[in-house]
Amino acid sequence: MLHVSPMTSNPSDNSNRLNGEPSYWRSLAHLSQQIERLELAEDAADVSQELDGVARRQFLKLMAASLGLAGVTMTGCRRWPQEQIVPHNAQPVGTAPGRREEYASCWELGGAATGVMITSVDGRPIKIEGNPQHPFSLGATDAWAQAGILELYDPERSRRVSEAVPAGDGHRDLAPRNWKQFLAFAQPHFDELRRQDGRGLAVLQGLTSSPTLQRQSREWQMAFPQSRWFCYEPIHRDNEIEGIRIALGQAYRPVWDFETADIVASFCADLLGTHPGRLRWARQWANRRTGKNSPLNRWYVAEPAPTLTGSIADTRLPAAPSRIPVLLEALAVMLGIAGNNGDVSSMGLSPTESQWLKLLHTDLVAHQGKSVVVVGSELPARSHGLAVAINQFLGNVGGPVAFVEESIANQGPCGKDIQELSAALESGEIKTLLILGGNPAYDAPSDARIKIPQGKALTSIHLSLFFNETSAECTWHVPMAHWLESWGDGRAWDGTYSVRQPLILPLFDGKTATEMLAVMGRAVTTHGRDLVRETCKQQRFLPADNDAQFEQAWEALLHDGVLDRSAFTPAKVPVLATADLLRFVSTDDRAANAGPGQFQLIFRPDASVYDGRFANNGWLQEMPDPITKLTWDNAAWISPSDAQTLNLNNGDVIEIGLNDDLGRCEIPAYIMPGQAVGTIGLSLGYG
Amino acid sequence: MESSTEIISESSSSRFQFPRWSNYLLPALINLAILILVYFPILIALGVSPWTTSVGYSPHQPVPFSHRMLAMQLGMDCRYCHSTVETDGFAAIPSTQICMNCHASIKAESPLVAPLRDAYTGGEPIRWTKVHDLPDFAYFNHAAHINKGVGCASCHGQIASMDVVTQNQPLSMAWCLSCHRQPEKHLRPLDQVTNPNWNAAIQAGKSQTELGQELLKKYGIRDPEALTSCSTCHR
Repeated sequence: MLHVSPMTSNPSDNSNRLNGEPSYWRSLAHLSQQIERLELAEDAADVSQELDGVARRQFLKLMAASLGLAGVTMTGCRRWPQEQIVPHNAQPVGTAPGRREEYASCWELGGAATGVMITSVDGRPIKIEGNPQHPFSLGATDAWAQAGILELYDPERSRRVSEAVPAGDGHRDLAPRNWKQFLAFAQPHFDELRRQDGRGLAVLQGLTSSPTLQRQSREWQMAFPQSRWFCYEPIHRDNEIEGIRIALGQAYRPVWDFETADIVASFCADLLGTHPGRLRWARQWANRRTGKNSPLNRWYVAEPAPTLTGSIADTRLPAAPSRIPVLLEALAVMLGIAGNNGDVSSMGLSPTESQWLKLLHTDLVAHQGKSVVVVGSELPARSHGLAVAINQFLGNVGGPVAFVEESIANQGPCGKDIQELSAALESGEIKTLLILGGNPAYDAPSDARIKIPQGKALTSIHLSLFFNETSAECTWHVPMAHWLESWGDGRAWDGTYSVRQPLILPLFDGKTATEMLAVMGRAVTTHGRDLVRETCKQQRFLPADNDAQFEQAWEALLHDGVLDRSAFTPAKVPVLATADLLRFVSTDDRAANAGPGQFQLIFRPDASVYDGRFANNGWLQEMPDPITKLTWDNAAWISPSDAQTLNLNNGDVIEIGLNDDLGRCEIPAYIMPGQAVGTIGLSLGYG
Repeated sequence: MESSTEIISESSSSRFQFPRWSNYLLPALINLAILILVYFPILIALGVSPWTTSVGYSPHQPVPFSHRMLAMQLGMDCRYCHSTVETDGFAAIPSTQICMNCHASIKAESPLVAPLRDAYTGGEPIRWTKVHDLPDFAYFNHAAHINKGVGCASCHGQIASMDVVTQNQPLSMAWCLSCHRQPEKHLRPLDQVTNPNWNAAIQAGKSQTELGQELLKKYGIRDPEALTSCSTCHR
């Protein structure tokens, strides 16, 4: 029936079992290969000899050759290169050469921080794990955090400050500079801007939960009242923040508890794979799977492209992005909170969709107060508002659903900011642009291309870990300190405050965003460590009445890496009146299905390179995509039935063009069972 | 005539004939013999020779430091300078600070101590050349050995009588294993670990094997099977 396990758009029923033994497959192509191989083996008895024997003989031949070569060249018998021992002039107290040391720190991606524990030997960080004391991530880390080590030592990181100088015939040459030369230019430049109240000045920054950066941003806007502050990251939560703000009058952030929830319904939210709180959600999900303390809970997932969350769902519905808001509305109607007298017959639901909804509806009603409805951040704002209403109606708020302060409420919305910046750059209104990290020239959406004008009219400064597409367009490039080299802080999804401490001095004299802002803004202190301490003092994070107590609390904070009981407390949110809810129900685009020959594109964070920022990281590239097992690349996911219609095979290159001719790309197709019909899934970060 | 010819041809066809490849048998055997008698002995001899294992390796060091003078004549304990040897895997080469504890006042003006003074007054630390250099795929922990009664001299030789540190033992895998198979031959009481002149018969009044067996039990040293397991040293 509909109790479909994930990925079961399976052509044949016996495909899960080959030769009487369970057989697992990675892709449809892999499955058909297995069947072919089985048939071959049945047809001719000695085929198996050919399949295995060749490999063994080849192996022996190669082994013999390499043994022979080892003897001939005697590579094994030479004195290896001379090594040197360089002891400290004065060994720091409490350390010893070769002794492993662990430091707590934190790391941030997508506006939420994760507590980490970093192992260091002889002053070199060598391994990143989760901080077991962190109350939110509970000692877990993900691949992105762990791969930070390789990023730190990446030889292709930017190593020096550079300035683009005009070199006749309209070209620009890159002149190597150092930090002092940059300061000699920048400080008078920004002093002059300050005298003009910052007119013509703009700053572009990524999403950050760091209280220090947020404080500096506020101070910056006071020092440069006419300046503009933009926020952009390709993967953002604009719609979620907007939707909840409309519903509850203020931006709140939902914090869920999937351990106490008996029913979880995710509409397009990849909770276990790419959500900023993924580590916590994965642990909670796993705790309910042991079945030890409480029975298993049930996950319903509706999503267009398979994700980790979909792959663990008990009941998964492949649905095009345009259908998912409709499904949510239909659920609201069935629950009787969105008019229509509970009648969904006019909503154009397919039999599969209505069956899925019926099951979900029955379960939600039976588990009131112990269920969660989650909506993915890419769905429209109204869906987020509606999810708040549904959770309230079911009595889940106060149970497995809580609302806390949204720590990035004042940043962005990214989508609007990048369009405004694009327009402001085009109009020439901006004279000085300071870009703190990121790569907008590469990852801005195609309807808001960032074209940084080159020439005297605009001074652009890019702080970046790599000399990337944006650096190439800017006047100045300053290497950024890696997070393992820098001071900082951040808040986890639930608001838990963590500090970041450097494990090593900046390898290439990089600077952090906080240090840049402090230097340009002529802050009293410009050292990364003091900036974080200043935040702790000003905002009274630490339990201290005097300096001595502060020092003690600060040491403890550095040691633990995380501030005890610093999570936001759940807010009391207003209860939505049913009459209010109709504004979350759309009437216009229910039938917004793609026309014939047209597809809906789904962009999602890549499991390896996220939004492209980790493209140079070999560890992450080597790590197979959890769904397709592809490495070093992405592909356009397409459903088996669409592939049949278009007569496509795995690896056939297709050309995808956007409706309004905003962009097109050529990319190999990958036939993905479980992909919603009429959609194409693309991961970000591969150009 | 006709019939006899037939008989001959019949018997010749049933007679054994060497196959063609047997022509190559003799040269092949000669080559094989040369391989066994010449190539392999040379290979093995080179493999275990001091030239390969670096026994006698004695590189020049930036400071003419003499273990003989400090450890033998002045009687300093190894652990004064190599302070981490009992607690850590790596036996620290002393920091400049430790050298200067004495040389700030003793021989402070000597030109031989000049590199120390330069380093200590803000210069680059001294770059010693590593003598006992195990390959990176072999794990060695000083503290584990010292705390189980293996003396410094067992691996480093009579370092207390050397003016320039010289590699005394082959540090090869076979050499490591010879002790891991029979640790009792090298064990001492813990307070004698750094004694350069240790002798079981004189100082403990027992044969080394007898004492070794006792200490084996006392220090809870694991059986040779565990000590020679691959992952003991290749982790």
